[in-house]
Amino acid sequence: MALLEALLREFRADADTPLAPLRERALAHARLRGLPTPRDEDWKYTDLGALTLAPPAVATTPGLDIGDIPFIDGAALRIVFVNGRFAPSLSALDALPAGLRVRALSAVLHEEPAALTTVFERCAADDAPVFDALNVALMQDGALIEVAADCAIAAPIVVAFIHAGAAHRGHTAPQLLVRAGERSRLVVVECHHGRDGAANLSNALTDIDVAANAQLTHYRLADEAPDANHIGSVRLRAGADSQVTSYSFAFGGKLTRMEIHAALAAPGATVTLNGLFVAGTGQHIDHQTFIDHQAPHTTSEELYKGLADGDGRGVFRGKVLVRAGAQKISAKQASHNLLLSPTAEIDTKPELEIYADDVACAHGATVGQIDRDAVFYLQSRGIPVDEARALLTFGFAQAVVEQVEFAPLRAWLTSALAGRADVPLPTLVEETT
Amino acid sequence: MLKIENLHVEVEGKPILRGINLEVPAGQVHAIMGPNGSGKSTLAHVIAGKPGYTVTQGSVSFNGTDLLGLEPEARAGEGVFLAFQYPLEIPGVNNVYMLKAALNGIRKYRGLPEMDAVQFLNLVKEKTKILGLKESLLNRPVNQGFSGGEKKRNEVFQMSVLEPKLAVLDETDSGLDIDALRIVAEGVNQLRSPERAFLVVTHYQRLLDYIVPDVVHVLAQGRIVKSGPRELALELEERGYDWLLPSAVA
Amino acid sequence: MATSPDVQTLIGQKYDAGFVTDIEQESLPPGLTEDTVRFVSAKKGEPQWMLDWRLKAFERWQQMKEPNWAHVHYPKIDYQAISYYAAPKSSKDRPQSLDDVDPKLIETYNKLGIPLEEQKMLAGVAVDVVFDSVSVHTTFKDKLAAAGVIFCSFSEAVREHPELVKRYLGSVVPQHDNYFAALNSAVFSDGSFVYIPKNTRCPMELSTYFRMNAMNTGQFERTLIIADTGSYVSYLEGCTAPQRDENQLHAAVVELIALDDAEIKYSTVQNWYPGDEEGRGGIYNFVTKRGDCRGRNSKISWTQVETGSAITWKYPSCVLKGENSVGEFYSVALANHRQQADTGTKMIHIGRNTRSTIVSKGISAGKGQNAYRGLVRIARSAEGARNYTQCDSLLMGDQCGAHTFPYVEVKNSSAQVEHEASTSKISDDQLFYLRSRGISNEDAVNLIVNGFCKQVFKELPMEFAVEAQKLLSISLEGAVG
Repeated sequence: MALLEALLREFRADADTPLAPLRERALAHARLRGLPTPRDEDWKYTDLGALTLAPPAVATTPGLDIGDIPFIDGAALRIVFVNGRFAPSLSALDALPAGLRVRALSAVLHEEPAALTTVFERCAADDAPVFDALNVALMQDGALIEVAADCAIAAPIVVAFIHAGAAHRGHTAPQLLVRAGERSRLVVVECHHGRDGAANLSNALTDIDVAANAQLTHYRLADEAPDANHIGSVRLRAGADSQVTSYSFAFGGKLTRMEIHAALAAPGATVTLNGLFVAGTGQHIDHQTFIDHQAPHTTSEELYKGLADGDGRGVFRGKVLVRAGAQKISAKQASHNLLLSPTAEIDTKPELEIYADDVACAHGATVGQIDRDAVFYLQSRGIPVDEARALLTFGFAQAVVEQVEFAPLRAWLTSALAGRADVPLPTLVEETT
Repeated sequence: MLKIENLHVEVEGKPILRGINLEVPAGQVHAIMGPNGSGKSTLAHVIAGKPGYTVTQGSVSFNGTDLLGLEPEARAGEGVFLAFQYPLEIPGVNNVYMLKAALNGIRKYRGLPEMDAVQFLNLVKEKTKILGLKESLLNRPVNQGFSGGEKKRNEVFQMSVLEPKLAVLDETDSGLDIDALRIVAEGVNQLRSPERAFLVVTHYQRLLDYIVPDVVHVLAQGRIVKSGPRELALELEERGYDWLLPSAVA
Repeated sequence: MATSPDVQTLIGQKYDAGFVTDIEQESLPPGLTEDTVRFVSAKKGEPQWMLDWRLKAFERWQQMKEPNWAHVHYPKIDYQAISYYAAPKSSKDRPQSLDDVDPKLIETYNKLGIPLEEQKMLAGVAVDVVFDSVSVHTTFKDKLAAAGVIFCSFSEAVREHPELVKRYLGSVVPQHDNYFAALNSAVFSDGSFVYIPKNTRCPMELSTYFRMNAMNTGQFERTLIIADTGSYVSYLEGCTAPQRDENQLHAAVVELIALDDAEIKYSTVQNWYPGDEEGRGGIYNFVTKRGDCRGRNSKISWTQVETGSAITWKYPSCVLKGENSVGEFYSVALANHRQQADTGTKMIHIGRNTRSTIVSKGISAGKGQNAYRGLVRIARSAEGARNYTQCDSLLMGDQCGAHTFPYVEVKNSSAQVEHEASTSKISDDQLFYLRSRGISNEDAVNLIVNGFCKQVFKELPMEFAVEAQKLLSISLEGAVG
């Protein structure tokens, strides 16, 4: 617990905001609970034993070039954070369309702390997950994105958290809050990207609130540097007749752990959760999704694809809860996984918990390898075996990738998959441009 | 045989049928036509006793028995059969097995002994031939994996086995190509007899080329707005329904 | 674990006197200590090795905690309030005729078409001669003996076949496997023992129903079945008729061992008292069942129809060690009224080319809560392993629950694991369709439920399957109104 004490000292320096008591309570809660172990059902397949929590990183802004930001081509609207701190020079917030407001949380903390109270209260509560509590206790910066009612924002807004430099070894706790007003439309691209030997632990919290009849698409990419760890928590609430789609892509990092909770809070809400992860040698990628049908006439769909290669390990746990009284529910969930090497491992646990009767729920899970017959088929057409395997792997992931409408991300995913497969890009990728 | 008097029906508080009067004597075929949403399917469902409909006024009697007071299976026992517009798929339940349970349920209702398996299978074989139904379909779960046409044929096949006194055909022609339509109509025509009545609900007069009705009724906005001979159907095809709607008549 | 002074006094006295004389006593007062274990063992005239084995289990149990991860809720069990040994009741304490038996029980027997004499036996009525069981029993014994099959009570096996018991007991479910298995290992009352010799096909289905002396084995039953190389046995456990039973907690252990090319088919129909509509009374059924496919090409198949018990906590499992071995699990579990079931299976693939199939059908009605919990684990060594899991839930009524918790862990890339699950309700439209064809509401529900369970019923021996269907329809009476 000495570690937490160190974190607490760091936090006290920042204790002059009105939210300080909540942050203190969150930290006390985290200290009391301690870090989870594999004995906790939610952490059965992920052991944090080897994880070290150093105090928050000292804000250093390494010399980053604008071209180092992923998807810069599609990021006309962007807010960028480097090693946990807002980087105005890399951001582009001058030409925001009417109805869209984007602010750094370091400013909001002092300007309008009331805008953060709900999230801070939730994360400081006794039943909040430890990492959510730690996040609000230690948060230094992040973004608040608000779109007003009746505003349809066509251009995607990119939120990039970049970790760079071997000196960057500490703990960061970034936050992204999205508030979509009634009947609004918005696309948010959240990107956690590590480079240049960063060895940080990023404990990120995303909180999304979508009001009635609004439509929100959220893309989230976790691509930390090879020695870095990423713990992400996404909480989203879908209001009446809203449509929310949230993607989680996990590629980089040593340990990546994602928790995605979607609450379908009012009738007519539709939530789609899709994901794709690739766990290569030395990587452990764990996704925990939880779809909570709180209201009748709600619909959810979920498709997760996982790839494990080398000695990589992939974990997927998808829980769907239909609460008592939530009738007329449709919930579909699929978890499909490929093992690409004899030493890789996949653990999957698709769960249904249903307390209503007028429901149509289904889930499916598969774990297997690339179809040998299909490899043979391609070989017989003259394609070399490695390329055939790569093609089929790529095809396997494609069901998720092709749904991505934000073209720069789709291109990034395509080339990342091709890079993994170690196959010349042109063979696989025709649509990159 | 079937006598409907001043029938008013609501669904979730919304009036659908607003005073239907209809009499179908034994041996006759009556067609019910009308625009979408006029209440045709509701009428068919109410006769068979589908839950979810509230009869607020009026009566439906069948050979003197009050149908409205009976459970759906008792109505089947009395001799009422509904061929569904959308036949249900029932996973795991064998088609022939279901039919045997139905036939014996009806026989029991009538105080007749159960039919044994050999008798029953002979009956089924004979009826399958008439409708050109693939025998392989018989042992599949009810309507599961059937094409649209096969489902409709299966409905008429069930009818031919159960030999009802009154058959209500709810849009039996929808989803059928012309060949399937002929086969289904042929099956129906073979069942026509002086003891049996038919109520044919349809949107298109094409079916009536093959199942020739004695009387055609036009149902619109919950009432029968016109009744006439077979030729009325042809006239409807030419002129549509608008000239018959209450506003136009008035 | 505090023991009341009275109990301590009793136990203390007994200990002072030594249990050689004290085993004249017919039953034990409530309470569980090392002396209880010694008493049970002595009462059965067990050899030292058996007592030592029990004591080791008891020692482990004392260090264990009752598990709480299952999706069931029940008041805390006071293990010191249970009596761990009671001799069969004497005739004068039992109902003297069927008139003294709960009429509801008799009604169920009649619906199941159980003959009068058998009803008496099931209801525990004092009868001097148990119909013609003696003759049935004798022909049965002769036939088995001719084939070399050993089928006897567990106590008898400890006396007559100690070398087999010593070699295999606890080799599949170790004493400390889990809390309830440890408890069972310490105080198990009796149970069945089966040994099928090499290259022998057991000439008949073995059924506890025929083994009269096993009727009163009570709450801590122990079963051990060994199928030697190239042998086959089908074992039926339980009975569709609800049995009179005064023990609320049941913690049985079943161990199956299949050697090279051997096959064991284990079928269960479980219909313990489920409690009344408000959830009062009813059996807690906390069972550990595990089969070890130890040999190459061996096969173990579990089929179960579970309609009884207030709480069921049961995961018949297969450890697939032998190359090409096969594990199967077919289950129908019903939770009506306030029943709670947390049941499923574990398929642990260790050997090469091992295959497993899981078909689980859960029905929830009334306020019942039905959970499927399953684990499919493919170890790194299980090259070419295959699993197919299908797990369907049917809901009847809007206050019940259906839950699915499958765990899939794959460490070998040549494995293929497939899991499918669905949850749906009996739709009003389906019921109306069948009723409009002249089928009564109840029959329509039965048709749909039987269709839903068909894949499992066809795995049961013929007679059992017919009974299981009947049982299901009786258990569901009034579930859809």
